[in-house]
Amino acid sequence: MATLDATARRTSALPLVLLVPLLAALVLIARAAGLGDVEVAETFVLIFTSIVIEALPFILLGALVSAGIEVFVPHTWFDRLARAPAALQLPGAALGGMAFPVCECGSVPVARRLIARGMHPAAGIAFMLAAPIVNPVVLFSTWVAYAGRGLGAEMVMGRAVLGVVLAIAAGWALGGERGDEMLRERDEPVHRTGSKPRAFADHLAGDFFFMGRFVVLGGALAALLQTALPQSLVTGVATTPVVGALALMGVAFVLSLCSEADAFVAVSFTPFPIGAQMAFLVFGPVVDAKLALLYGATFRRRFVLRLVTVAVPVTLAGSLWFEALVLR
Amino acid sequence: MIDPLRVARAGVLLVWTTFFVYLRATGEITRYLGPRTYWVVTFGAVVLAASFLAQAAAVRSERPRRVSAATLVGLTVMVMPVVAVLAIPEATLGALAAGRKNAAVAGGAAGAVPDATGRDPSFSEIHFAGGNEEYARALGVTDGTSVSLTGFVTHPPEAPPGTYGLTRFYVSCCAADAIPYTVFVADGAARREDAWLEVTGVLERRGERFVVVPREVREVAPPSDPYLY
Repeated sequence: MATLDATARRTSALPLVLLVPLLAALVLIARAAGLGDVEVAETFVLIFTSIVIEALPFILLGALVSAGIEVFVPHTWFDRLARAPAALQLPGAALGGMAFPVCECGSVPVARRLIARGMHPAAGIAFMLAAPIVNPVVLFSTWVAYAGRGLGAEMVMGRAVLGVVLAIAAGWALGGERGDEMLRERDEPVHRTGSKPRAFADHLAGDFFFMGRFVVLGGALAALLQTALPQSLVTGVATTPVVGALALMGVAFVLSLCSEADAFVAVSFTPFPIGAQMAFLVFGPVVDAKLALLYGATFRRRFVLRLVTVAVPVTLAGSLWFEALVLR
Repeated sequence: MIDPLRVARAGVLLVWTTFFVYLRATGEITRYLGPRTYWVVTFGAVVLAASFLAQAAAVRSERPRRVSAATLVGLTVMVMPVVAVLAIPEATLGALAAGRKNAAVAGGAAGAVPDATGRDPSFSEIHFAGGNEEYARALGVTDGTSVSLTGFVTHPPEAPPGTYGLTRFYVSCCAADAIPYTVFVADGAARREDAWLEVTGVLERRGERFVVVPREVREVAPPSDPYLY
């Protein structure tokens, strides 16, 4: 038995031990090959790492909140919450996003935990999608970006209203299943023994590693798209509101920007109508390249595809309505 | 018994903690983020360090977990950004990135009409002044205005004949949202793409843009902070 245990330990530790020299060799080969002088590689690495450096602390923040919910909030609280009608939970959760000042990476682990603990899945989705749009930091940065064009208040109001409407619509359309049917199983269950601080640390690490790898992969995908595709591909279609809005939704997906910064980029898309810029601001925090991987790892049943089928028409209709209202 | 999963996680957490501390301590953070998001690295370093200590303190377990192949791949993915930085430590955004992003600002979005600043106009101010007379007047940008600009050389297709672009990125949160602003320099010389130049001269209106007629052009080392904010 002791021999078997020893063999198992050796088997599991060996790849870990091999990984370090393997990665070191990779670094040495890249340096020897002069990869740092290849501009495409430089651009990719800089955009990739800057996305990850900015996003990982928000994943940590989300994991902190998520672990706190799991370990310190009593079951009875969630039982009471789960008994509330979905019609109440849904808008309440969407508006609750106002109190959670993080961008989209942080809201996913929290929503996952809320659904796992018994919140109605529709409400969990509504919270997850609304929080990165309607939180005060994002709305303030939107106001700052557009105040110079005299549209600060309009853009803030439009973004908040459309964000909440989209979050509720998506929650209602996608959240009809039971929580355990909707969420993917974790490949490594967290130990449920030990003291509360130890359980908190285990849950924090579990969520961080579960979500973090998909943020890294999503950041790589976004960087690849930013490096390979010139944005001039979409400026030719800028003039018509419908095509312009669809084009900027595509750009938002590719760029995968933090919702706290995206308004400063959106305001630079001056060839596009204001409604198309609004579509960029509402769609980007809901569906982008890095989020697509994160959602895929968190939810089952083609969640991303189903979310896109809701988000595109709602965002498009909302942005056209917004443009008509602003230009009236 | 030692729990290999906790050891592996502690290792990755230590790598990221060290990386974040390195970014802050050396000032390398300016390569990746804008000042308004520096705090996320400080926050990340503190929480990651605490998480590392918690994992390290708990590596002895009565029920050690094996590290599955999927977990190993996930852990490897988690350290890839640090590996990428070690492989290409001094990556910068240059002419290629400016070309990919340039069309986004083709129209130029002037902010609020500014007050005259009394200093030389910046890249973005020259860019906006070219397409907006009111903005240019308010800022005092006109034919003959003196400028002193440091940027890298680009050759965008819209460059007027006999000019090249001098470009600088403006960053809001991180390098992914960088927006390039280009001012054209009419010195008639062939300049190497991505070379950093310090150009002093005067502005001259040509159609809907101002170009710089240089008095002096000097090749310089890239600045420690490559972005403007």
